[in-house]
Parts: sequence; C-alpha cells; structure tokens
Amino acid sequence: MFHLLIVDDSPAMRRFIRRSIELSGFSVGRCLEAADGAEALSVLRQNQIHVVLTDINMPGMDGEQLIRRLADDRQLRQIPVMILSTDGTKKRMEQMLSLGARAYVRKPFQPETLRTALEQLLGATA
Amino acid sequence: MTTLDLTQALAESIPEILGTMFFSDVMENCEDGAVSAESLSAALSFHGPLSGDFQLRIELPAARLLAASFLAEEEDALAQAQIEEAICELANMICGGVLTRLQPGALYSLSHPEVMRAGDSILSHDGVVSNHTVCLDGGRLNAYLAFRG
Repeated sequence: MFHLLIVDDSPAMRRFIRRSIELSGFSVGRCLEAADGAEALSVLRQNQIHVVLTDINMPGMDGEQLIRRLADDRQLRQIPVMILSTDGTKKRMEQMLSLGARAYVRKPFQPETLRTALEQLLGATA
Repeated sequence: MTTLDLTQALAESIPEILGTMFFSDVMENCEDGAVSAESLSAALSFHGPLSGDFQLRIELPAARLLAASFLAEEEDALAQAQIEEAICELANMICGGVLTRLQPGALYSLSHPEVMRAGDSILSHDGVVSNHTVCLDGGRLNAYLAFRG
C-alpha cells in the first residue's frame, strides 16, 4: 500500500483531491494532509510517505520552496513529488520539473488522470 | 491580446472547470441578466507579463450547489466557510485556466483568492476587460477579468 501526502492550503481542495483518488480506484494506504510546505516537511519526517502531491501557490512555504527543501534533504529527496496546479503554462511546468518535481498535473483534472499519473510515478499497477 | 481573446478564454475555461471539478454543466439557454445581489464574490490578482484582476460573482443557490458537489456534501450540511472556500477555488482555477489559454508560454503568479464583502469591487479598469456570464443550476455566474493598463 502506498502512503500519500496531499499539500494544499485549501481544505476544500485537499478533500477534493482525496476523493478523486478514491474515485479513481487507486489503492492508497494512508492519505495524510498538510496546509503548506513547512507542515509537509514535518509530516514527512514523522511518517513513511511514498508520494507527495502538492499545490504551488500557498501562503508560507509554497510548493516551489518545498521541492527545493526536499531536494536538499538526504533522507527525503527520493520521495517523488507531483504538482497539482491551476497553472498549466509550459514555463511553470518546466520550472517545477527542473527543480525536481517528477510529475505535473494541471487542475482541472479527472480522477483517471490522477490515477495514471500516480501509477506512472510509483511504477505500480494499482 | 483583445477583449475577444479574453472572452473566448473565459467561455472555454468556465465549462471545463465546472464540468471536471464541480460536476456541473453550463445551461445552453441563458437569458441576459445581471447576477442578483444575493450572491457571493471571490477575487484575486495576477502578475506576470501582464498583470490584472479577476473576480467571480455567483448567486447564492448556485454557489451552494457547486460547493456541495465539489465537497461531496449535502447542501444542508455545508458551513458558510466551506461554500466560500469552494468558490475561491473555482475563482482560482478559472483565472489560472484563462491565463494558461491566453499565454501558455508565460509565467504568472496568482494571489490567494479572497471572498469580497459587500461594497468591495474590482470592477473598474482601463485595460483589456472581459465579462462573461453563464447560467447554472441555481443561478448565474459572472466572471470578470481585466488586464491593467
């Protein structure tokens, strides 16, 4: 079972993402949540997480800063990060992927899109 | 960038986001008319090659229906804060979707959407401006986007 961390400042969006994963049929173990990058780092240091799904635009530590912090952390750098953002511009995608994000899904998305991206990211057939 | 480009981007983004994330369709036959005063507004600004503001106004019954759908919650069980959060997310996604359509090669930053209180309005600009209204189950939704200068 894969354990996920959803990072988004909006509780409504976190709930929607969680539900989309459930609707997609992707098998998840624990699905934890954080409201910003700093909280995400804290959760990651205390829990075994297999993939991080994060927004970019958040107050406090945003998604870009989170990716940079993960890349600098020997213990956490191997955890794959998927960006979920309303920003679908090519420049933003390239920027995030060059910083270390492993997948980029634009909002709005279908549950199936999320499932496909998770399967590719985790190399799994859930 | 013309008003026509902007209007088209709004007209494409709104149904895409409503259909995908809010499981709601835009009605085809929408009579002309303004959004009633019994509405909820959310606004944000954006900065990049072009800067400007976005505001969404939606009639309350429609806002409740969309929030219930987005959160998979019964309408009666929704708190006002949940409705506002859902509408702020809708505003964020529509604005992001429009900018992505208009300038896919550009880099924009969006402010956090905020609920507008009565009397607060951003609806006055000199630059390229577009207003787009659609009818939904429960009422009208108006999206306003303006580039400054």
